[in-house]
Amino acid sequence: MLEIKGLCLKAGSFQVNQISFSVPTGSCHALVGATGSGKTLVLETVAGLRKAQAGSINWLNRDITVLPPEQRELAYVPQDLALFPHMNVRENIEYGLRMRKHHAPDKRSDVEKLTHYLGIGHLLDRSIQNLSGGERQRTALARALVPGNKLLLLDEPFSALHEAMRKELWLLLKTLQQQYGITILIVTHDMEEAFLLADSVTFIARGVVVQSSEKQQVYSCPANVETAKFFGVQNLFPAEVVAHKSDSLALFCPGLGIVLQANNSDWTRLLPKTSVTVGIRAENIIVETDVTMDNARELPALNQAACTVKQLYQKRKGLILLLQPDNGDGKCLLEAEIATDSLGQVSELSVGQKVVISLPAEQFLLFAE
Amino acid sequence: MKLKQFCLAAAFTTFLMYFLLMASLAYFFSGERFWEVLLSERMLFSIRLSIMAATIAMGLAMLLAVPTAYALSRYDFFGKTLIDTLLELPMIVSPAAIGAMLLIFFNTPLGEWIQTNFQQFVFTVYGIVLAQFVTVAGVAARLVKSALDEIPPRYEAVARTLGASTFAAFRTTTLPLCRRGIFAAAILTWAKAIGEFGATITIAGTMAMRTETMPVAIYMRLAISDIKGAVVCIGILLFIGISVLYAARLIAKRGIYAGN
Repeated sequence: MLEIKGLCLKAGSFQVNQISFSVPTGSCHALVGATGSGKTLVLETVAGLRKAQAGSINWLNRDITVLPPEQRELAYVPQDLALFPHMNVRENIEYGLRMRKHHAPDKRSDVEKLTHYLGIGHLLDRSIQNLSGGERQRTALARALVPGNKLLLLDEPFSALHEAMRKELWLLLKTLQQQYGITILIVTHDMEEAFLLADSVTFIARGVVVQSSEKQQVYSCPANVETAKFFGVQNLFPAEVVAHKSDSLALFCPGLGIVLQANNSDWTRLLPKTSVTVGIRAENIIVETDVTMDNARELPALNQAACTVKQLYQKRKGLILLLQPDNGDGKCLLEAEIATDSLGQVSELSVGQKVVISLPAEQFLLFAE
Repeated sequence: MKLKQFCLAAAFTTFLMYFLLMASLAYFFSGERFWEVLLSERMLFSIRLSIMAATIAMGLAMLLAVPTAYALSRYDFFGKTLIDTLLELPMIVSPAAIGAMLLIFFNTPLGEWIQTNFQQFVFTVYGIVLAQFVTVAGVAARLVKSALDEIPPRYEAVARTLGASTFAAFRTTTLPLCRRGIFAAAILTWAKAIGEFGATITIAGTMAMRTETMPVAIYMRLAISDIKGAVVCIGILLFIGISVLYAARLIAKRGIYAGN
């Protein structure tokens, strides 16, 4: 297990404080956060390229906090890959073996196996300058893994690749991880990448851990508004508690101009007049075009609001609508996503059209201020 | 005037200025005198002494310049800005002042002790090497630093995670990647050392067949109004300097010292 406890470090005037998380052996952990949040600094400290001011880093029950990088027995792939431009692919990949003086034939056959597996076996004598983005990526992975280290540190390694190549490499990395039993710590700001590759996630903001847990937990219960924004909660609007019952809560949202009912027993401790932020994902908003508010009132569903379509644009997975609630304060703009397979039902949508949205009570996220 | 024409005019003006200076040597050039001066024992001594002193001074300067430049390029430490500024001392202070400072140093108790117990520098060949070394060491470090700054430290960082020690990481990544820059720095340092005059004459004096480097030979011949002799010396110095620089450029162009 990789265990990081109370890690503190400083880079210029930027301070990283009390970073703690653990990564079980053989699993993948994503360090996520906005640019400048300190996630790369943490990764570089684990790699031994920066000194920790306080805290400890343990890998397989060995304290590696003060060890130089060459004694940490880990593999590191930086964002720019840093492939050595004066060496060809083979020389790059075998660099770790040369430095660790592994000249045994079985190590050479490991190189052959791994490069074949990564699909770069035919490129070994090629110059680094003549590789495509994906080939460079695979070479960097091979170089990191050939010495046989079981902890792989990746710093946004796929950010420069186009989507198709990125997805191909995600799957390759996942298979590689399972096949070689590698533990991965990956830094990324790509939510999709984090969720596809990682088993658990640590969200860092301004040098401190905001949330660290299983990825599903971070997705469904983000710790605060910042985490929610990062993990794709597009609609966040202020509200005030107006009443609470044992299993539900009534909230007035000036932006929507309606009282919402939220079902979650955890929130019933919130007292009336408490200011909160309500969040809901775009894909959880139900858009109906064939109802008006008159007949909507007769529907059993709660949390409905009349809206006007302000903008709509097609995305790969569906249609995105920007909606302005008709009875709101005019400051709130909601984003709703209609999946491609539901498009038939709302095919006549256009800008300026009136629609009714339903906000399912069980899909709300609530953040007390 | 368009920018391109203006810049080209400036480039040709610079060329013309140096060309005119070199061409003016022809006015006083005498073929008969050329061979007489060139093959004289005194001139051959001066050429040998200049090449030898400049080569040693360059070697010593590079030995100091590479680690100095590496420290300035890669680390943050107390006094870094001060050291960085002092590298330019030989460029802002007259070489004669550098020579005078060396003379003054050898008149301090520490300097006298060094001269008595270690090596006599004043009015000796060692003084020439020292004067050239002091004059070019800072410049060499500055040139090497420029070459090192071009190489991202990331290569060494990755090399270390792959099992290389700090020195092995430098030797196998940064050094081969900037060897062309270091080679160019060495050539320019050598060229500056061989042309050094002010500091050399101040500490080593003007003794024929003892401390007479090529620039000193030019000065000594001018001092006795031997213009034709001075022209020969200048021509030889120009020939050596331009040949070395040209050869260095050719080698760099062929890629022998290139990174790949």
